[in-house]
Amino acid sequence: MSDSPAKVAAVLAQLDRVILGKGQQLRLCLACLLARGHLLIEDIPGVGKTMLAHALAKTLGLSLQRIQFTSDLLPSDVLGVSVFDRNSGEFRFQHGPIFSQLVLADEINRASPKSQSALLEAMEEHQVTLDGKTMALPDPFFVIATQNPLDQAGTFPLPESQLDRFLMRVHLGYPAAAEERELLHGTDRRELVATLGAVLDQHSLRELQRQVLAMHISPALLDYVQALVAHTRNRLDVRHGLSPRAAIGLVRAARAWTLIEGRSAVTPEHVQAVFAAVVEHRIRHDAASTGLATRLLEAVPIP
Amino acid sequence: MQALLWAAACCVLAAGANLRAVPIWVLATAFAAGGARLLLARRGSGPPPPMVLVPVAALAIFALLLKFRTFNGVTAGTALLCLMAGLKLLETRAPRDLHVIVLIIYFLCLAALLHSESFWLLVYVIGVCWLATAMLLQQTVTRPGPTWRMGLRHASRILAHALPLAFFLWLLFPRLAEPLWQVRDEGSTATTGLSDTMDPGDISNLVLSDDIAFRAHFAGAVPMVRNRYWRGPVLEEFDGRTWRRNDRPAYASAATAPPPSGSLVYAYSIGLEPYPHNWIYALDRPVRWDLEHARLSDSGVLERRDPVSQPIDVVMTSVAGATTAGALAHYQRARDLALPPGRNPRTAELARQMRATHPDERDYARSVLGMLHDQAFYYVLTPPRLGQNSVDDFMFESRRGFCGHYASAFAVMMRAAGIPARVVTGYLGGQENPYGGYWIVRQSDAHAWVEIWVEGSGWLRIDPTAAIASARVEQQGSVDNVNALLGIDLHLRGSWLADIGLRVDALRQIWRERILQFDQSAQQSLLQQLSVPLPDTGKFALLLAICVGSAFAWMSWQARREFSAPSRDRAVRAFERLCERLAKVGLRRDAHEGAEAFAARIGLARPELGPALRELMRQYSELRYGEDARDRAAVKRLARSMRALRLS
Repeated sequence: MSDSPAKVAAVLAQLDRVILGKGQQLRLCLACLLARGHLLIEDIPGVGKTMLAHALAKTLGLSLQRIQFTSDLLPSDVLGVSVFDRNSGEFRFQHGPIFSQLVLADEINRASPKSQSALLEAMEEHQVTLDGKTMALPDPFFVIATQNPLDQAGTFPLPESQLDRFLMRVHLGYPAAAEERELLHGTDRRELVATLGAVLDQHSLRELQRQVLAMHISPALLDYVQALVAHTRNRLDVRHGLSPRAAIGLVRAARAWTLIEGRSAVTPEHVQAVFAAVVEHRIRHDAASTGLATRLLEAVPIP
Repeated sequence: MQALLWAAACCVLAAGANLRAVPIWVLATAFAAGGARLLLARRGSGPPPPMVLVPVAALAIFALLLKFRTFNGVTAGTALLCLMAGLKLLETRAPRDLHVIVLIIYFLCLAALLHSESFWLLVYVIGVCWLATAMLLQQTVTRPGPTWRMGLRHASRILAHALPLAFFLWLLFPRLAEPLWQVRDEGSTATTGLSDTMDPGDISNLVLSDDIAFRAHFAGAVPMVRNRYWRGPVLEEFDGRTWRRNDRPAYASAATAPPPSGSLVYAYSIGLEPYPHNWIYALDRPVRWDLEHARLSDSGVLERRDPVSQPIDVVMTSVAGATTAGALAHYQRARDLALPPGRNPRTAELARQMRATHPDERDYARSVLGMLHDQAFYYVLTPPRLGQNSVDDFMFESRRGFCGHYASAFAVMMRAAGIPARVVTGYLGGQENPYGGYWIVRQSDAHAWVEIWVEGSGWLRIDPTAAIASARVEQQGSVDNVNALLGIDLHLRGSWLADIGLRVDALRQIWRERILQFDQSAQQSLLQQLSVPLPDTGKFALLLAICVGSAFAWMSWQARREFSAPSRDRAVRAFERLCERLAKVGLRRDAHEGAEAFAARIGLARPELGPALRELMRQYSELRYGEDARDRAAVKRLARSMRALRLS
């Protein structure tokens, strides 16, 4: 318990060395993972999404698989397939890429809804059922999905109900000038990632995830969360207010943020810090939603 | 919707307590209004718009005003309350309206108790109040939303808490010798009972009624059932068919003669149920009574100025025997000898013949009784109808009748023979209640008999019905006065149901004597027995005001404490005060800004304030959102350091 701030700081320091100048986004990603949620990154290619996934996997000591989603991707390409083994004369299940502790689902909106839902169901259930057999997924199971917002031709955008499965959505965005210069100047990131060692083992990751749930939630804080949620339900520029699942996710993410901050009680600031990432993709997923979370926060006084 | 349903149900129950006092159209209007609201609620709509509500209310209240001409008085007030309950239901929109309805229900319950003092009504009204209180709780306690069962339980606890206070007030509240307001009896409800006229056939309706006429307590000797004749109205005017009470009674001198030594004296109290007449039932000749505005008429009946519209208790002493010493006044003799000319000629002829052979009055009376006994006269409760000459028809044709017929015929026989006679109606006998030690006299004990004037002896009571041979008494049901006539004193009527009835009646008697009759004098004597100094009204009012005031103060203090956890509240107050001070120096916190974010922002603008403020705000956050939010000492410390922070 006492060394958890140190562990978190070490993780963040290592990630920071790879993904430059994105401290806030890195923290959100870590919070999402510690809260046992899945992450959706919406960004153009080449800003380091894959790099982030690799760095996370290395730092946390997780196995990583990448699935490139395309329009002809089949569910079996994600989940796996039963193959007839001629030698033994039996069907053998060949595990798909989803059987991994960290799954990077690249450009998820390119695949057909059928394949999308295969992934999303596995995310929700933490298990895969094929040919009548149910197989559990590895225990820390974390999906980072990416979406390309620019190129919308021939894509199947995730419906809001599916977006709800992701605890957070973050934008990485372009690096600032100084960081970009260092990026250009410095060593190849790929090599850098390859040299990274694990900062956490799986046991201490689970311990951190458990500690997230122990963060104190006071009635005053719940008043605030409820006021926020109620406000989204009463606003005209919000098509559908936040669901109870979203509210639960908000509290969970705020708890993880509290842990990262090294505090023991969730405060309104912690809720505000994760609010945009947790809420924006659930309310609206178009370009107009960017400033909405801030506007919502500003409209609700802290009780 | 559910709350509305409960409110409507409680209103119906409360209106039910006032069922007999409120005109039926008022109830119908109120029910229609409430029912309309329920229908609207079922369809999911709200109350009707004001342009419907206002005319409906105005119309209903105008109709009420037209009917009563006033809103004063218990009946008009109750009707208005009923109407209001219905109309309020119709316009119910918010919880506030339901609160008003509960208030109306409480008032309706109170109004019901102004109309009647029955024990069962009190129980019923308490039940209604219980439900209404539960509803009120359901409406006011919003936070955890208690279930109805919890609400009912809480309501019973509240009512139980009120009991000691109610008892205390009942015991000590100054009684007024006269009621504060006159409860007028518009249109008395008493329907059964003796009236001041008697047609042949009148009493038979009465003897089938089980209603209680009155109860009697004997302090000493109890007269034999044969002598337990409770005298009521004395009927002295006869028109050939109907006997009437003379409507202008003369009153005997106020000084009543002391009971002659050696005569039998009965001391008793009589608890009368209300009836719309002013006579007081008494045994034989009352000589003492504790009743205001009551006098003895020249017919020997105790009469009050006003009708007995409320249950009253009278303590009386009577002398056995109907005798009155002295001579019969001239006008009385003329009145008690008068017979309508040309009516009942055959009876008159028979009387003259028999009187010729019996010059002595007693002999003559005895021979008439003998005739009734020997000849084929029958006692039946359903006699044939009689014509205008009712006595002739009865004596010579039908020969079937009951006490009214016999008393009427006997009195005519006496008068025709020149003996002053009058018909007395009242009750005979009564049933003993062994559980209460008192006697219950019911309407079924109603009876009629005759008194004749015998020179030198005064009035003699003669019961011609008793002369009929018992073999010719036709028993129908359990007619008490028949048993009484036969000299049978019934103690119990056998069945266990009747037994329970007697026990309940004994309880009711206790209720009446101990609770309802607890008046000023009873209160004073009780307080003296308890050696509690008698409070005078002013002091008592002051004491009461102090008690109620301090109780309210205590309750509001409790409520304040309950609704605001002071430790957390204090932290917030200290924080808000600090924010106000910061705002004065131009550092304004946005409403949505967290304390620590605010401190961080100030740290940028005023670096010298930064570290201290950040620390304070961090402490505040920990206290407000942390686990030890109720750590009073920490809150106190924080408040102190917040106050101590220098901003300049």
